[in-house]
Amino acid sequence: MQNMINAVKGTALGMAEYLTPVLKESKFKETGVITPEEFLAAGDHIVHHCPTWQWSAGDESKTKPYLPKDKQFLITRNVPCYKRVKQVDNHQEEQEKVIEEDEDGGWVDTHHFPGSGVNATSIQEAVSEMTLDSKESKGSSSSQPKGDDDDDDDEDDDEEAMDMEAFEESGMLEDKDNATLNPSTYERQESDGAMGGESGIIQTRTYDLNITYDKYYQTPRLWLYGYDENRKPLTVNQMYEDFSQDHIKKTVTMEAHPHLPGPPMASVHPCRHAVVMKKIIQMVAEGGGDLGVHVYLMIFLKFVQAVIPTIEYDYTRHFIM
Amino acid sequence: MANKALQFAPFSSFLDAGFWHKLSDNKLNIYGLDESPKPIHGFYFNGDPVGVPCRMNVEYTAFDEISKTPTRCFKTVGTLHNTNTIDSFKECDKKSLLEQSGKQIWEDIVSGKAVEDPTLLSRFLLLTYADLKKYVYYYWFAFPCLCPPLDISMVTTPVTLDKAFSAEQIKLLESSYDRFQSSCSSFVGYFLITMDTEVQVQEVKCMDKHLADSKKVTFGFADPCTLDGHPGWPLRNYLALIAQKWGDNLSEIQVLCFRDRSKDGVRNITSSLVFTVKFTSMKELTECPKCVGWEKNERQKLGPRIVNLSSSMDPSKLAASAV
Repeated sequence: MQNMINAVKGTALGMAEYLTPVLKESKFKETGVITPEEFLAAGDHIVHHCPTWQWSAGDESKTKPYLPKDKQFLITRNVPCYKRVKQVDNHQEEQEKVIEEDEDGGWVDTHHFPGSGVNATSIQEAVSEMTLDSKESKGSSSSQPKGDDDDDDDEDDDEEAMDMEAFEESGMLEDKDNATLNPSTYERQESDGAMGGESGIIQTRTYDLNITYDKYYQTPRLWLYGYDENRKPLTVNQMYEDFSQDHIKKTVTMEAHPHLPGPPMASVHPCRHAVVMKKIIQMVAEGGGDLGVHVYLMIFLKFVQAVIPTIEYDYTRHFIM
Repeated sequence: MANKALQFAPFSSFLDAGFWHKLSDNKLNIYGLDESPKPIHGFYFNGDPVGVPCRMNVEYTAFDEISKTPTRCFKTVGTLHNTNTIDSFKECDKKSLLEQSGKQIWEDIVSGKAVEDPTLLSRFLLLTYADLKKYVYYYWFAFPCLCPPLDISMVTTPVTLDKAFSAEQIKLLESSYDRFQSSCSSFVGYFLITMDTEVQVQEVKCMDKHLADSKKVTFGFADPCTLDGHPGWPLRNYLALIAQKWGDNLSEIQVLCFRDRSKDGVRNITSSLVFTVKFTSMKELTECPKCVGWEKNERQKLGPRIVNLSSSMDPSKLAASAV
């Protein structure tokens, strides 16, 4: 339900964004919002310090006039995500405390008043997950994604897998080529460290992460698109396994990307970003520190980690809180 | 001690969902029933964390006429063969497609074009069939590589950069590399390193000047592989080029697999590998050497892959999931 509300809100806000004037004066210390110029400065800073993040131009038909053509949004590709959130549940709570507010309206507020329906299903999932856990920790190299029996695509996938064998060819030179490394012999099993010093290829999910500037909320906005161990796009339900369970369908929504063609992407909804950023800036100020706007995105990336605790993107050096 | 045969980590293809959207659009609005090969492009990156496959990305930008390779990434030149039917996808002569592509690389090497523009060494083929009614896409990548008549062997086992070079030299190498890349219009994946009184990174074509003192030259390339015992795929055609062009003067060369990682705001090139290889000249070769490179599928068999995007592209499924 919340999902639908967000979808409707998303469309309405798209219109509102169109009408909102572009922010010119810096207000980030008072309100936590930033101007496109400040987004640019903070983006340049992060690109300089973490080269895994890069500026991207996006699809030309979707270029936004308030940002330079070749610096429309930030992207980092192929970020590994070794574990599902349920496998590292404790970690999440630690993260929550950092940014939690005393009163209502905190970043992780959803945690405290879960709808009864949500609660029941999450317990159910937790129970079914327990039985899967031991299996999953042993080997992650199996080709079929697990744990989403509610996904009706599964049947098709199996069928296709059968069909595909008919396409395989033999007698090609590749089979006899000694100089081609067989990467599967170098797959690293996470649970057994028998490989010793030699590193291996880890079969893992990966994510592409984008940060766009949201003109309506005047904050950065995080977008994610995930791929499974065989580099096939993850379904929405599979991606939900990598988001903190408290944020699914509340702060995480599926929407069309402002700069990219293609299917809807998961996004961390920016409606609370400015409040949280303001809070962090205040905390730093109280400690005697002074935050320049250029570190805005580093702080931003650190706090969205609460939503995606297992995706191992680089948010660079530690700053003093 | 017998020399160990050099093995290369093959490329793994990475496609984004936007690529399939663009392909569908192009198929409907531009290509129609036209099956002729189309130029596309991709890129690779040499800064991935340990454990990530040696990847080549092809994205929604692949069809752009003027390619814009992302910063710090290296361009690859591709050819798209989109077939109209599943049968022509299946029956298409993959062997001859790959041979053609290998021949092109060989011709570019012999003519010297690839010395001027080493990007021509990084080619790929993409064979596709798009079932637009079901939003199902069949695809098969090839990363063509020329095989020398005799296997290339390692004279020394690979060591990381910090074991081969001094801290001072690494620093000089890093700054010289940055100067070199910023002097090029886009990042170049193949280069030379000369170690004399100073460390210098230069274009591949400068090799002709160094034939007399070839001992101090190291052949460098941007390495997308993350394994600590093996170089990535781009080195294969690079070695073919070296063996064809300068094989008579050189028999052993030092190779630097340049890996440019950064984590937590700290850049680190010391995971780059250095080793010496031994090879035979390919100068006298009159015919194009044999060529390999079709990508294996999930089951490690030579076969295509399939991706089903109906859950994110089919309007009826999208409508159903929105409620």
